[in-house]
Amino acid sequence: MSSPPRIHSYLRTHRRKWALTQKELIYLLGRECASSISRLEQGKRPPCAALLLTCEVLFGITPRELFPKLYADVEEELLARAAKLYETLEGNEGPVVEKKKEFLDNVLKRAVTRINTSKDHES
Amino acid sequence: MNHEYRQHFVFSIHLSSRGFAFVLFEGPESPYDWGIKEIRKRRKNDITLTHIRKLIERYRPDGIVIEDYEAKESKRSERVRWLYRMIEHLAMTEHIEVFRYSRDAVRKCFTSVGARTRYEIAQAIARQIPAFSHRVPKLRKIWMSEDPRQSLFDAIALGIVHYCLAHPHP
Repeated sequence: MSSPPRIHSYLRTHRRKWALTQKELIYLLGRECASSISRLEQGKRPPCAALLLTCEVLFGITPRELFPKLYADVEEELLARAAKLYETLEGNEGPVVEKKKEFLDNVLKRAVTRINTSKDHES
Repeated sequence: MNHEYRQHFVFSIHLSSRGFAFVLFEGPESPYDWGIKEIRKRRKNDITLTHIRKLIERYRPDGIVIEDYEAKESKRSERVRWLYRMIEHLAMTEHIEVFRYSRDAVRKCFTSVGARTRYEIAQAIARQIPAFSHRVPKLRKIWMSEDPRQSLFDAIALGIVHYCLAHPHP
């Protein structure tokens, strides 16, 4: 695994890049509470799905790019579950099992490729 | 802004008579966070150091960039010099490398883009990094006091000089 990113969120960076105040961002995101944005910016609170999509529309940045730490955590947990499911399928045969294994194999390969690409970018 | 997981943070600090400005860089043109802190109370140095310590603890930078306060042309006050020494000491205890660049080095670095004065350097930075384009201070007249935003651009300039000198492009 690549080392965990220190950056929780780029929300504050992008907000300030476009000279937006927290109040204006709250309005644009359709939120009511100022502290929720502050917590999101500091990575103290995970964003909900609707907020991730709203941010993507607003800044034109994917949730993975905007919340790298969250993405890395989700990816790590998913990979562990996928590997575990793959293990339970080992020893079983049949077209259905093969299809599932092919899918899980693709998931794991995709994640490993992405992690290696980020490592190359780091170095 | 590159959104891959870059782990090299450079924390540039510029102290002024009214507080300090900081910029946290992920790369030469990728500022992650920045700000100006005005401190006008008593115990200015203690408060400044506390703020800087909190920022260092939050971001865990790989390097700290400050002005070379011991350079020949440096005209910083004794208070600011003491504060810079304290920042160096703080960095040492946190095992963070400190890089010092003189005002002369900053000027030399920006001469290539036709910027000589601090105002011209601020304008050059704003052209180079759009995130700061709306923060350029007005041209200072002789009767005007310094705009606090100038300190921010001084911090940015130090960061850019660090990338130019420590990590020159091939």
